[in-house]
Amino acid sequence: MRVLYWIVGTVMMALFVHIITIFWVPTMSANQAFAVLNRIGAQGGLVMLPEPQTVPTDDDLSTEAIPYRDPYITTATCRFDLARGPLVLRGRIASPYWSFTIHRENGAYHYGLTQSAIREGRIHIELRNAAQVRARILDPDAPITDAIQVEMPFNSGLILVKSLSTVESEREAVRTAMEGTTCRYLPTQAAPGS
Amino acid sequence: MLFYIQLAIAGAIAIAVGLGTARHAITQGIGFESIKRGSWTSWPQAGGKDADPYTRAVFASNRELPNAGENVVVFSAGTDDEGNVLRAGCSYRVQGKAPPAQYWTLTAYRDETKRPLRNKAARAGFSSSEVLYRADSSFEITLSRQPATENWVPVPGDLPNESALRLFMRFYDTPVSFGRDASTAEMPRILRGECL
Repeated sequence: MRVLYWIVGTVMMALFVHIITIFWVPTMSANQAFAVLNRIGAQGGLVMLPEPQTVPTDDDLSTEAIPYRDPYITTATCRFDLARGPLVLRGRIASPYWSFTIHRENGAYHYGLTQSAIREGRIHIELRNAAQVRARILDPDAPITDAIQVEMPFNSGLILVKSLSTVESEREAVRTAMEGTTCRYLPTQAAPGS
Repeated sequence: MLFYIQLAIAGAIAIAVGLGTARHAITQGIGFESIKRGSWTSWPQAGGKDADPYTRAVFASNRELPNAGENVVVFSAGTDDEGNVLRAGCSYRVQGKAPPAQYWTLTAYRDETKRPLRNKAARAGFSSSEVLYRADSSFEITLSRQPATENWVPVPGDLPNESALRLFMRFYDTPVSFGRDASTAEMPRILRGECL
């Protein structure tokens, strides 16, 4: 009977170690894809990720390239902190498929859309926190815009823009179009009466 | 005294088993929400708010970028249809039809570096626009050192025969039915040919 107690106790401890390990691994931020993006991304500016196949050599594991990336996808990222002001992302992406996603700093997905939601590949999106949305609503001089307005429940995060080239000949045009996409802060509008 | 010795032994066994099973779950890609189709595995919830802890651990440990919110379904395979690890010294045929999607890509990676194969042809895979289809809309992609007809992905000659490979098949702009229930997808088979 005593041996059985030891076996059950050992199994319970092993289960505890297993569960703690599984929950602990994602918190090792240094190993996460989004930790890499946070390091290489520019605050309020769009940064193109290097093409997976242009990484120097197969044996150079020191580079911060994110693993298992699709070579048919061109990726750009933009870090933001809405405490610095509302953010606008604007561009035109000539690609059969592209996606725009917003994530928290830890990578948690918040919002996204694909080319099927936008006319003619034109992206025009403005991100604001609740105070900035209120300030814009109360501002009689706020310009009328065709931008998609997104209210963010958090200030800091990053945007990922991905664009597909299904054939090699499309890749240069897709990359050029993405390089022409801007991600920048708008001047802050003070809330009337604040 | 005996109690403490027994406790130390039990603790050591528990730590070894706990860490070992956790490592196995992560390296083998075991998750509550993983979907298996033949030798292909997909994590449709990866990166989403509802991803299970195992899926999060798998993606965190290998630094993969999930595709949450992108209308994309991703399958990967590290073995052939008979369960053998994909190796650079063997030839493989990826054969069948692709599940419904506007576009798809198939890419071969060296598993150690997690990067696309680098060969003189600068071809690590095919997209739905590049691949040669047969009359019944099926295709066959050959992964080998020796040149092959139709769709050939050259395995670099300087890779050791034992180097593990991994295939990724990504489906972009998927119909809602496929994106939400990838478990019904009929994925292409991965058939092993000759090995060196």
